[in-house]
Amino acid sequence: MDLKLRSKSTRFIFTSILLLYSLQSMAQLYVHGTIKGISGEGIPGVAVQIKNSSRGEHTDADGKFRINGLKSGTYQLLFSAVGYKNHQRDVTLKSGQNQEVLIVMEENSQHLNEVRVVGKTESRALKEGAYNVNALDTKAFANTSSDINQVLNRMSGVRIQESGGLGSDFRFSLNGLSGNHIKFFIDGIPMESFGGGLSLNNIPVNLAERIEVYKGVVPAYLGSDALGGAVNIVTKGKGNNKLDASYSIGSFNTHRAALSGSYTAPKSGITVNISSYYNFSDNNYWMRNNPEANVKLQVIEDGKFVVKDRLRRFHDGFESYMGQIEVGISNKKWADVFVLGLTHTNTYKERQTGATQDKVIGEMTNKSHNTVPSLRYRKDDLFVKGLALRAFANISNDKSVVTDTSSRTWYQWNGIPDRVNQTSGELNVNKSITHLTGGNALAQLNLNYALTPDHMFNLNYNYNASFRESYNEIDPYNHSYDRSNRLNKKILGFTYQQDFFDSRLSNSFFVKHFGFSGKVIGTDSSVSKEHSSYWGYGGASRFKLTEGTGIKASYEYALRLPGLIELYGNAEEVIGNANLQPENSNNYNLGVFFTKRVNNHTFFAEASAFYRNTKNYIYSMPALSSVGGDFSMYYNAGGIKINGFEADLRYEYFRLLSFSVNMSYMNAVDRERYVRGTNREKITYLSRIPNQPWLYGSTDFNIGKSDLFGKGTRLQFNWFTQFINSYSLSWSKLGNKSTKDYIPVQFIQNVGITYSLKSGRYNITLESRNLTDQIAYDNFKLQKPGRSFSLKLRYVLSSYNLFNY
Amino acid sequence: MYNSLKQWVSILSVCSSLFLFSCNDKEGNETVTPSTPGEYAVIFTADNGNSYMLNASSLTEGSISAVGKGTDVTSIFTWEENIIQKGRDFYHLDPNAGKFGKYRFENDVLSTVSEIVFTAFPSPYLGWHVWLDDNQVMFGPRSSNLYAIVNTSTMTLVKTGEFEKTGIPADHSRRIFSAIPKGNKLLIGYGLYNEVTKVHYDSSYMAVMDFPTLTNLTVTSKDGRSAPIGALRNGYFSQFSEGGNTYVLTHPIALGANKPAMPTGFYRVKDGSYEIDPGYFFNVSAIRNGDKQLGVGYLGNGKALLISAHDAETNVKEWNDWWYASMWEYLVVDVNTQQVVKKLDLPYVLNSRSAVVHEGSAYIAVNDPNADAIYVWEYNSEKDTFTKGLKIEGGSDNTPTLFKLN
Repeated sequence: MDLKLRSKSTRFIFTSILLLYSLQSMAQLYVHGTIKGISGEGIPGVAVQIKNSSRGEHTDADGKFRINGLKSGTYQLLFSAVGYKNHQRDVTLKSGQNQEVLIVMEENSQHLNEVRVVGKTESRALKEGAYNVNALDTKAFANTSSDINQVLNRMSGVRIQESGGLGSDFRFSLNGLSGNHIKFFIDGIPMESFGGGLSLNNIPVNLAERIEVYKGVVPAYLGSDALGGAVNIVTKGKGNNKLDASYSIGSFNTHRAALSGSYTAPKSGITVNISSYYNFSDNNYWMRNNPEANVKLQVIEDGKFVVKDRLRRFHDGFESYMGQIEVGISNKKWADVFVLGLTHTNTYKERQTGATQDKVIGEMTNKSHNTVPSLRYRKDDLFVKGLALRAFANISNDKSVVTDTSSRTWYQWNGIPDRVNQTSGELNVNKSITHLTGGNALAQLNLNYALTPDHMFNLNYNYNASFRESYNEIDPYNHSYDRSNRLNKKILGFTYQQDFFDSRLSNSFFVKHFGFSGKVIGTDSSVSKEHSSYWGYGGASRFKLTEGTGIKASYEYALRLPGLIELYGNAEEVIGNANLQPENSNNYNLGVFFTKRVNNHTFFAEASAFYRNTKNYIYSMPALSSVGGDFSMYYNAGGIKINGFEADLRYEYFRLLSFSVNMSYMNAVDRERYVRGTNREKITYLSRIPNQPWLYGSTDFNIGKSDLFGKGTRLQFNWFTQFINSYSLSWSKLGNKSTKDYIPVQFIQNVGITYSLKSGRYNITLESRNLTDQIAYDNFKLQKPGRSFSLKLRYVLSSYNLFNY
Repeated sequence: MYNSLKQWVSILSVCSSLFLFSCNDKEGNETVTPSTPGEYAVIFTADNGNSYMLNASSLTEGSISAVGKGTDVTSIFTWEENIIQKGRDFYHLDPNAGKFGKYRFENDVLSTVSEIVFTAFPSPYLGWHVWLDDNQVMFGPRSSNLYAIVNTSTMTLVKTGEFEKTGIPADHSRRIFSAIPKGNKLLIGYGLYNEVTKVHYDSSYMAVMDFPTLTNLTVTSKDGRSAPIGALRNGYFSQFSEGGNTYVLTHPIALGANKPAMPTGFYRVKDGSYEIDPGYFFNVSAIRNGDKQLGVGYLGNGKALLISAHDAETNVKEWNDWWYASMWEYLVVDVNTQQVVKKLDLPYVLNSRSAVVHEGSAYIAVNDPNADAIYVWEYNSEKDTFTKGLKIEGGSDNTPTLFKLN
């Protein structure tokens, strides 16, 4: 990568330092204090909350806390912790005077059930809700060099099939449905509305607070069309004064930095949130010869094929950065929250392989950037008590340039190309510099009304308009490269939620209406339009047998509308299919959960079974093309049926260790009986879909000790193992068994050790991924990185500590 | 509320039975019965998009399927027209890897014998091949003046190069479509391409040279009745000899050269001559209402089997329709009488590959989208019988290619 790219990283670091400095230097009014048990020891992890507000903190290892950014006035502080009786204290702050409090909390062994509810994390509460949700607090991973994808990969039912290292293409699979069938959200906003820049493969984990995965049934208040489920990334709570900054350096010249912070001016109440990340990697990991998976790493030497043990990747660099700033006010008459934001992303990516590593690419690049202004508004108790309005709008503006001008038909893994061919590109038959311009406008309106605490209504409306056009810079007068198209989606969702028997029974019902219109201008200037609308519906229910044990079931008739690229192509490797119909699926979930706490021991268990019956399934197939080359096209197929089962077990010993194990099984089969338009029975009818793991799991072991090297320190060790059973690359029942290629069983070991000082303010983590250097694949002949090491430094300004998991 | 409870109890019971189903793995472990070596091989694209190579002991009866059988050749034969077959040995030039490989098909399995580096052609899509002897094959790319010779027993590159440029004007290039050995001479049928105006002229040319030295190239003919002279791609039938005369089919069809004004027809090179016979041209299009044809196989006694694209102007709406529109009909033509002798009794079907011809019978894979499967049909020109034979299960809209292995 060139020097220009590196100068961007310098800019990023400089901005970060400036910001750190300015945040530190601002004056604050605060309340601080210590919480102790009867025997006088500090109690860590106590939730300290200001009543009737969202403000709060947790105590550190010594039982100390501090809430910054307060105005003068009287506050009611609520103290709650697992195993202790709740405590309340009024505190009055006068101008220029900070307050200190000392609280003694009493243990509560008789009413443990009650206390457990108080101590429950939001992710725990979600898991015990009616929907089939897997939620994960990212706190435990904040010190690791992971991005969101790698954290998601630890969840049952989730597989991320990555095609390489940092920033590589990936396929997200949830209970067997993958790719576009799953929708992604950031704080409830569809991620696609942020343009192409934000992606799970490069958002560092410490920008998120929690990740929620909705399996099969997606609540209507996440306003989008999702066929197989949705992922919602909840970013760090905003409004409090806090800062989280990290930098990591690792193998393959990988550098990653992340910064998130929030500051509220005490007098004006103006809040500034910033969020930013920077990623850089050469991704020059070793490619390996692997006869077991029938992967041959051969190059031409002296006119002969020579098999090499390993060769480094040479054209897979990746750089991306994102900066987001939000400025807002809160608690005004006309708005509880009003925030204006601006997000900018920039990505540079070299391309190393085609659809498999047999096709080596040596010069193709992709550059893109986008800018997204946004607006967020919230007003509670609008007109009547219990009616809350949230609104969000943004406009994204994407530009990307795909350069394929190498004059080479192919490269070898030793970096030596085929001879020059004047007219050819590497992926495209002819040279091209394709400019793509895309835009997306989203307006989201969310109305919530609580008739009583047990009966709640929600109305969600999403209007999404997107367009895309392209041209080839090299051949600007050749309009066969041009595509101009437009797509509008309107999605209206209504949810009714009811609770009975002290919330032991909770039901939720929803309907969704999808409106869809599109326009495409062909190369011959002809205009084609399309307009249609559809209904979807579903429900979810949970019944608690005891406080910690429950059973839940959910169903959705889900629909997904085809996207811009599927309909109109991407001017790269995808050819459009304007005749695509929306796909639909009947999704069923059934689950049980169990939680038990005995003194310092906590057990969690969850299990669920699912069934998906998908019709008009939109899938990608190689397209025959008049000009040759590798192109794909999306088609509607009869669909697939998937059933499966997954289970999670977890044991924790308070503050010392935790161990969890999960396992997922699924059987996805082709449900289409006849070849389209014929009466020929398909040879793959009721066969398992290939190139997709169907049995996998992971174990996660953590052990940590506080105050080992002085007060406020902690040493934490994590050992995470992933297991993926062998799976077939093509339809397993077809072909002579001796000729079949399988990806062998994989056990990938990852370890990390973190040393924290000052109750988690300073953290140093040394990590190794794929410690045993296994030759790992998620996809057919697309090898992933071998053993890598990284060192991460993280600084956390608020008392966001690491003892809470 | 109790109603909703009841509703959920019923859903729960449904879900629990689903859960039981989920434990039942439908894949199973089927026992593979060892197959006997068959005399024929079929390469076909299954409805899943992958290509399989299967054994067939007979083309006249039975059925074959890729379930538990055959070899997935999707990543071996990456470009089907680049296959050259001789008995059980298959050769393939991989256009994307600079690789020329030798593979052997035995006992239902295609295994790699040897792979050598081959980077001689800038555009490695084959147009023709000729066997020089049992161990040497010569081949060249489509629309090019280049050739290469490989010794297939030692798997070594014997020679690569360009045919002598005699007869190519300045700023022009030669595009060879056919190579025909004739005694100790080699005929090439070609066209001329103007590199400045980017136009391929509406003429067929023929040249002759010494064989196998490939020297003394002399241009013998220029003929404007049809073009280009020779096969659409490597592996397509386009020429035969009968009574010392050689007949070569042209392919002006839009799928190939796209010369709408020109007819498809047979040129003749008379016995003892090396030039296009100016007194002979069998204009097939003229007697088929302008439809254009491609070659399928030679039946003997001057009779050839062709496929004819019926009313392509109406039937082809987009490029892929050339392959997947059911518009093709099979014709038996006689180069002596210059007549269509017979139209095989089939509905309009999808595109066809070349036939296997054996003991007076031509075997063709017929892809009728309305049939329950792809079938191999046998046409015997002597008895004039046309019978349905081997059933190929699970085929897609790609028509299979048949090979005779001995």
